[in-house]
Amino acid sequence: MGLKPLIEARGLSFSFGNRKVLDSISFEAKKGEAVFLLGPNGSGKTTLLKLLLGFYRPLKGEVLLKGRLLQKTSRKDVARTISYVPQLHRIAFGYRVLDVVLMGRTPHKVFLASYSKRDHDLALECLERLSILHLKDKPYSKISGGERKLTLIARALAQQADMLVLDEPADGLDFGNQVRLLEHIARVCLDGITCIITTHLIDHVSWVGTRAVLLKDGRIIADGSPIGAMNEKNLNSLYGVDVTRCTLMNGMSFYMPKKISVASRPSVSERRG
Amino acid sequence: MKSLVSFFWLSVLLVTLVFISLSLGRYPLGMSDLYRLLLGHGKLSETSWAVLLYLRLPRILAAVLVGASLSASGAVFQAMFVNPLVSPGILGALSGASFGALLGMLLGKSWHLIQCYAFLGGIMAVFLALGIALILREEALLMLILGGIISSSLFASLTSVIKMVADPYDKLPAMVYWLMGGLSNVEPRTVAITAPVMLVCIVMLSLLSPYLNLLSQGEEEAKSLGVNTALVRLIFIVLSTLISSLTVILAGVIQGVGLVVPHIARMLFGVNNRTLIPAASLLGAVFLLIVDDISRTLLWVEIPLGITSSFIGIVFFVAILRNARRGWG
Repeated sequence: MGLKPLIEARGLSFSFGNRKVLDSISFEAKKGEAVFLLGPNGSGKTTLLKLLLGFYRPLKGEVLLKGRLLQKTSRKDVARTISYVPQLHRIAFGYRVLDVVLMGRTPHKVFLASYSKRDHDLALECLERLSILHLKDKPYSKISGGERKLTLIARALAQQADMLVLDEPADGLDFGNQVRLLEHIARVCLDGITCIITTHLIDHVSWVGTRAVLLKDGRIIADGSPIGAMNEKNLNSLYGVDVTRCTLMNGMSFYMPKKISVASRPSVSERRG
Repeated sequence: MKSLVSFFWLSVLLVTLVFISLSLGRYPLGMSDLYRLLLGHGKLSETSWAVLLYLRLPRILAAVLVGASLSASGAVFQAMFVNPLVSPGILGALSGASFGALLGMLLGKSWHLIQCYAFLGGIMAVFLALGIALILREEALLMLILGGIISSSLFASLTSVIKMVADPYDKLPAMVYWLMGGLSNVEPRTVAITAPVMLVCIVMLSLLSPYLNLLSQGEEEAKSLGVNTALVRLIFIVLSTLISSLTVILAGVIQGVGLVVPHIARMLFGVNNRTLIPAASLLGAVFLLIVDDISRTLLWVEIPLGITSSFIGIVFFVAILRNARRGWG
């Protein structure tokens, strides 16, 4: 596919004080890709997302958004290209779900103008797409964690950006909601929107991902198709656990640790005894 | 739609209250005189006109403006800091203004200069808080709150220093009384100067209020939604500081309104700042007008407004909290 990358990072480095978090990361994503970022805690996944979103300034390197330098692009233009679904969301005031989704229309309206009829329709349509239209008048603080995630995704969709950045979207969701969330992500990508997703749930990558990027100590150790990049060697290097991939008859696969070592540690009852 | 109707009734209530308040007071000029005046027949003596136009009207307008300003800036800060327990003094405006006014009194300045000192003190304190916030730009919100705490306590201790060195027989009682807040010294000219500024600021805050919803989503989310957070936040801080410092000129330090009225407004009108900011302003005006009427008519001496407003605010708050479980949530 000779598509031009939607977003491109060149030689990104970043550090918090003396601690180097990212070390010359180069990375790009094209239209409609579902790119999963994997890595142990503290490997720099979230930092990378925040650099791509322009929340942090890179120490070295640059981010290009549709060929334009991110730092020279206005907040509004960035927001029209990238939308963001955060991992943790502060809730102090219970705005109506519809009002939360409407906020996604902000980069498309003139300063001080109010939301138009079209904005309202679009917000409702996004709720409908995620099958949560029935929540529209509920206060955001009174809905479940899974519904909140979907509301934030609806807000991101209402933003009509080319790219969706999701920071551990499945975190804290029950199994059913995880699967439904992945289905929504897959559908969004089919609509031509690029998704960049961080996760600790490696099965998810093989289910809906089109690409896996493995991050360790601030460096990319593998970047490619989920099956190719997530081999036993790379996963072991990432998590320090021996992992095996199991493939089902229908072609889907999941990952298992090769063994759970319990014998080396005293069991609970022994310790009590 | 529902909120438009509520706005209408709240405005009607405010106008009615202004009318009733005009008829209240020691001087015999009651409802019936006003009613006849309104209908076009009936004449007032010169003294009556003077009482009406130079004493009661300025005071009533001041109560309306101060109430509206304090509630609006309280609501703005609560949304901006994503914390429902914040009050207009969070960035130090009120303690700075208190310090300024007391310094003016200590130096024996004229009443007008004291008012200028109060205003400048409030602005200065907020500037100090903003300056402290610049130390660590990445954590702008947290640093602002810390800056506000530092600035508030600095000016509170400076205020104590002034009280300590002030003449305990003459100046100190005046200072203590001023700190309790009140509208008995309101002059028509001061109202005329401050009113337009306050009105313009409140209207601007109401127009900008959708951005408060965005800011209250948190710094990074607001940015990801295309908001220039630093600029928008600065505008909100400047407007709110301006009006809360101006309230000090008119009424001294009035506690309670800026914390309690936004809560009541939130319970009645919901949490969306687009309706909340104008609603809180109107409700604040109604609230302080009622409280001031009580302050000046309940006893044969005037009760300091700051005290009555705190008391009545708390009673209101508890009563409404019991009825509305929705709260902030």
